[in-house]
Amino acid sequence: MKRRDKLEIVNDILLAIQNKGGKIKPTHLLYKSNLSHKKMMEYLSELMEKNMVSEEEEKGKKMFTINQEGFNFIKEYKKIKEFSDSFGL
Amino acid sequence: MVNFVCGPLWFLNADLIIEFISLLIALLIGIFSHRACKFTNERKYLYFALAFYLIAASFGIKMLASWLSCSQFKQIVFESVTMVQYNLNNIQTIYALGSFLHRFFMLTGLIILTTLCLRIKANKTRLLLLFFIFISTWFSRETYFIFHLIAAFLLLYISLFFYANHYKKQTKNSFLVALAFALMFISQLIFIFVLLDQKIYVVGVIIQLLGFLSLLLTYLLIGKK
Repeated sequence: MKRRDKLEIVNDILLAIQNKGGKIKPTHLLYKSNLSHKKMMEYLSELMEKNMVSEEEEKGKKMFTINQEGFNFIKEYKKIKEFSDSFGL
Repeated sequence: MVNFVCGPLWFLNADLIIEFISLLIALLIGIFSHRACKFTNERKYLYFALAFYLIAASFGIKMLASWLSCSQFKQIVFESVTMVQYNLNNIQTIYALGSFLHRFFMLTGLIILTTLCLRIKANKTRLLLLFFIFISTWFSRETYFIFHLIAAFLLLYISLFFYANHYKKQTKNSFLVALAFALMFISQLIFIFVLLDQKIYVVGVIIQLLGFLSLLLTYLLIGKK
């Protein structure tokens, strides 16, 4: 199996949140992103720094929410992936 | 003596418009690839953008040289014999320089695309190819034929790569890209035979335009996603 690059992992994390209606529990994200807990937290802190994802509390439970920047990333990544596939880059 | 092989005179304005359309399409692809480079930090997108910027510049230079030569040529009708000679020399210089830059930029763009397709990453190999392009476009006696022959050969390699890519991906966009470069390859083959009949040039330009329109359609379909 091909190793995922950084952008692909970021896209997978953001897509997992988007597909759960924009909000996801950390345990669910861990399962969906197919990463170790340590790695996932590293990625999430970077995504929060870039304002793509934010951390919220809902009924005393920690949740991760996707922001507009995150939606923009998914859109741009999809276009670039399509461009890359079309031209075999 | 400079060889004015640029099709029939009645086609000049249409040719300029078609070249302008091709320039814009090449520029659009270049800008998108530049954007992809900024997003991913991958050099391959930068080289791809550079290739299309060079192709766009090559069209721009050809347009400018054709336009300048023709405007100087029109002035000749109203001038004395000495001025006629002076202006003919001017036309010759503008056209020779314009032709060289057009050919050099176009072939450099195609070389970059070929190295990307063949996954050549060594800068030494790239420079070597560039050196041969420079030698063949500057010192050759038959620059017109050599240019179209090299362009056709490079486009054949590029087309085969895009065909293989389409065979693997099987998407509408990969098909359009393969079709675009196959059409460009055919147009370069047609340009080789322009001296037989100038009307052939018109056919070549139209086929080349169809190739670029196919690239534009790909660009629009990607943008819609």
